[in-house]
Amino acid sequence: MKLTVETGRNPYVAAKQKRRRSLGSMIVISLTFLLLSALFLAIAYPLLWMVINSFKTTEEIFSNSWALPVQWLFSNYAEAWNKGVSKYFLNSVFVTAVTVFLTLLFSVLSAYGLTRYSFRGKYLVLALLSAGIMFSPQVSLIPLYKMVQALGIHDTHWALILPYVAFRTSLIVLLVRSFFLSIPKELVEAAYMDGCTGIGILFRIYLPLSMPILFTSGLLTAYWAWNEFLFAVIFIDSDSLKTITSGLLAFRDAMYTDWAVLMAGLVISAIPLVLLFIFMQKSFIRGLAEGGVKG
Amino acid sequence: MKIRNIAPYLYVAPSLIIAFIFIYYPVMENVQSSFFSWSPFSDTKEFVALQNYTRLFDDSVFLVALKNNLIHLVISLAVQVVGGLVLAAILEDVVFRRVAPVLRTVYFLPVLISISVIGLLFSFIYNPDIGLLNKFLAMVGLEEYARGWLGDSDTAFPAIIAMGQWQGIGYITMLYIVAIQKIPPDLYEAAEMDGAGKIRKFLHITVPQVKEISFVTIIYTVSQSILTFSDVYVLTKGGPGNSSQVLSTYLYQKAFVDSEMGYASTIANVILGITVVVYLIQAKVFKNGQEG
Amino acid sequence: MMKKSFAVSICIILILLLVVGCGQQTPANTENASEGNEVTLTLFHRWPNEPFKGYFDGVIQEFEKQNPGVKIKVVTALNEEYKQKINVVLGNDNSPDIYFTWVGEYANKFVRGGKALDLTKYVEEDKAWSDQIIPSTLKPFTLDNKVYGVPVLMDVRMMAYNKEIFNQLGLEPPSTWNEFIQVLDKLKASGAIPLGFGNKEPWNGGLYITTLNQRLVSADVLAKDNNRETGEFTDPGYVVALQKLQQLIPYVNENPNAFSREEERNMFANGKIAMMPLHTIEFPYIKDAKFEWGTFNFPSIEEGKGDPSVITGAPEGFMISAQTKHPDEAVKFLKFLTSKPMAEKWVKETNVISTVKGAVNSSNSTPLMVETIGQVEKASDMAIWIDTILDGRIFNPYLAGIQQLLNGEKTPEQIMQEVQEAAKQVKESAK
Repeated sequence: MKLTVETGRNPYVAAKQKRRRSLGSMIVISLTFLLLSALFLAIAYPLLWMVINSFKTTEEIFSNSWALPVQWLFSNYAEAWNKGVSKYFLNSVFVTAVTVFLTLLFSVLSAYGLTRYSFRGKYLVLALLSAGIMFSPQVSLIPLYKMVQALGIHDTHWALILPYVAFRTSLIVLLVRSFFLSIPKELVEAAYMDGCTGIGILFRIYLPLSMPILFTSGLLTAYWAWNEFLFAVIFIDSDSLKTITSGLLAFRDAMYTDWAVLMAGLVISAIPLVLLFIFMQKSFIRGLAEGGVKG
Repeated sequence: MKIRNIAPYLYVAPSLIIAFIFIYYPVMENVQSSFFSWSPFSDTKEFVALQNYTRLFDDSVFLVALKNNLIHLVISLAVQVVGGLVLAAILEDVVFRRVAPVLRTVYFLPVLISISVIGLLFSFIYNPDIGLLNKFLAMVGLEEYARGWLGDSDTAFPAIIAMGQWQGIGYITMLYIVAIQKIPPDLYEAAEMDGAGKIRKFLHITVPQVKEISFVTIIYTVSQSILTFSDVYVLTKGGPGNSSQVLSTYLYQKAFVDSEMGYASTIANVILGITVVVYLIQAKVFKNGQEG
Repeated sequence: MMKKSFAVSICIILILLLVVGCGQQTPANTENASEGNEVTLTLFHRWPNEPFKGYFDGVIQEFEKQNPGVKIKVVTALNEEYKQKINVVLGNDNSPDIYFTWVGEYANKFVRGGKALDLTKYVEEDKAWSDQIIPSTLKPFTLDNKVYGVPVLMDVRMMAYNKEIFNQLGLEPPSTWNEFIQVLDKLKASGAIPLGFGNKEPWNGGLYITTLNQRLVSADVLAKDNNRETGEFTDPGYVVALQKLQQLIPYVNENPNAFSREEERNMFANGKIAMMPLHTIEFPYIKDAKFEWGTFNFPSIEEGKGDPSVITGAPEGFMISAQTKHPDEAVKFLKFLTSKPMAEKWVKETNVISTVKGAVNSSNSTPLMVETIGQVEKASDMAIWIDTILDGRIFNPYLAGIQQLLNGEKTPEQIMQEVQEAAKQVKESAK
């Protein structure tokens, strides 16, 4: 696959390139655009499908999967909401929010320690921290369950939050560290001159520059915590403490799944993250990175 | 001075403590349990030394699963890491500046959607009667390729891989976008002066400049690919036959259907072993020690 | 200068410890509250969904009212999640007092591991209660002449047929295999898809084989092979059973391995297929079908050694943990659950067959259900699902083999060879 790449962001350079654009490059650009659009359709259409089908009856989802609903059943949403989504929603918000906060906090601190200082065992620590992403949660269930029992946190939200933080920190540390590494040394030196201390440099120099990656990391942690259900099923007994995904599993019986209501429930559960992403990504990803490093 | 020496340890302490409690303790238990033959329902554990490991080589299902995992790994690296980087570079190109925000938002959305809905969606796409895929093939005159994608031993696993790429590429792309935006523009300007074309700029500036994040995307993709579970579980549960079995689904079957916990732990350790090896190779290739 | 960073780090560690510390107290408190004269039982069942959940909540409320001082805490997880969770909770020391189980090897492994309380004493002491349970449903909960569980519900697999299509073509429900093939031929000639088969979830094919094995292999050989200590699967009837299944391939929808059970049932409900094996627990899901439908027991097979009146089906029920501190209260609850009023309530609210005699009756069920339960009560035995009666190490290759059979990738002989191999390994490990 031949693709054109141009990454100049400087308006001056860009303008110059524009003038230079030949017929050949126009064709390449058009083809690339066509490919991008095809990918857009391949992703957008199925997502639309999900929303449209959440308004059908289960029977209609199967018999008429690709058409618009005969009748738009908003009642699916009402039913999902009443069948527990309302109850599980807050649990999920709490678990997810605390997980994201702790994961980012631990990851940032570790990444900072790992990039700012050189110390004995540094790479061992890095390896130990990041190894969590290589580890399959399925088979660790029995020992983890024992651990959760021993800590006395079984059937509390902490039984989810703490393992989530442990498992996610391993990935996020790597991400944040890789970002920290690319922060120019000069900035740090300058801050030192200004009399900033270790933790001060973290908060005044590193964090403001790292907002895009923190945002991306936070979103991914949130997505993961929000949708996780293996631990959520095993470590939580009480119905009143269940999170949304494990609560929604009640619609998936072996013989019969109430797809209509389940899909409505899943759309509801996807909304917060999707909205969060759509409204915040613009300012985070483009806005901060633009002027940021140069500044 | 003394505090200065322990400061870095304090920064990493919280993460380490929690990792030891919730990751390393279970890992140790796991390594230990792989030397035993035991069921969760019986109190006796029979010591079998390395028997669980030697058994792997005679286990045809395990070998199929391992092969599938390796295929999945290679394709995921090619599509998600290489493809994601290329896609990110294209989206960051000035030419597509106006459409890029919309495109990258949509590309990223599948990452946020629960796997159960995506599984249902793709089982409709692959459905032999009403599926979009067969309809599309008929539309472009390729009816003879239409089939029951998930019921056919030859196509079930490729169909699963395709769904995984569909869902996963947006995430890696996003990470690369964030990384590319941080590359100092003067690097490109300098290359421009030397008369470098887009492809050369991509290869000589973008690729080396995103090295650090590539380290993460590769290790992430590798571990995600090796641990693939839900994709297979929602679409085929490893069938037909065992043609789409992967290590995680097989491990799950051993642990929760066959109650062979020792053997399941052994498979988990194989997964861990593969990832660690990849990690080490990668660390060496990237010379991950040379940062500032 | 560095003091600040030191302090912050310490704070964070403290937060972590505090977090763990906080967690520790919460459950301790609840335990204190439940002590004293009150007895709290944990009930683990597999129905977080309605109407079942509501039924159990109602029964518990009633039970707690009649038995002050006994509280029942419910833990639920659906099917797959139940299977995960039961393995984890029974693998640890504090298992639930009462827990759901299927029958066969699935339950036997709990018994062998000392996880299930021997209920024989209770069953013998209270004949008034135990005699009102249909005996053929209690039998699968028995191992070495000891009762380890109480059946609560029953699921039966019958062949459902579209009466409209049958009437149009002048067809009658077949009673022998040859008649069955004739019916299939006529249906096929008329242009209909005669038989539905959604085998994406391979248990469906496994249940076909459950029935065929029962029809073709003599009962004592089957019993021997279903026992993990003596299973061999060398009887030629097993190969014939797979051949019979193979014989059906031309009559079922194309790509059976690509369709789910739900799609199969929807095809039937939409009149696209003329017949499908249907479970009694699925009856409510096709109540919207726009045609009349009926059921018949699977046909007898001419050369078969099994009793053709045996139905395919299995009870499901509850076991009591051997570690429970309150066995009497737990038994009391199960007795209450299987008392006739509660059983009738079960049938009425869930439309699922109860294992209590007379609980399924014309006041709460369709004639079809009443007829089916009549067969259950008469039956001396039933053919229990292959994927609960056998060890996973045997049924997994079996079911995988059936999928490959349907794809034309394996022969019946090859499949049975693998099953025999698996059975041999299980037999060895059982010693």
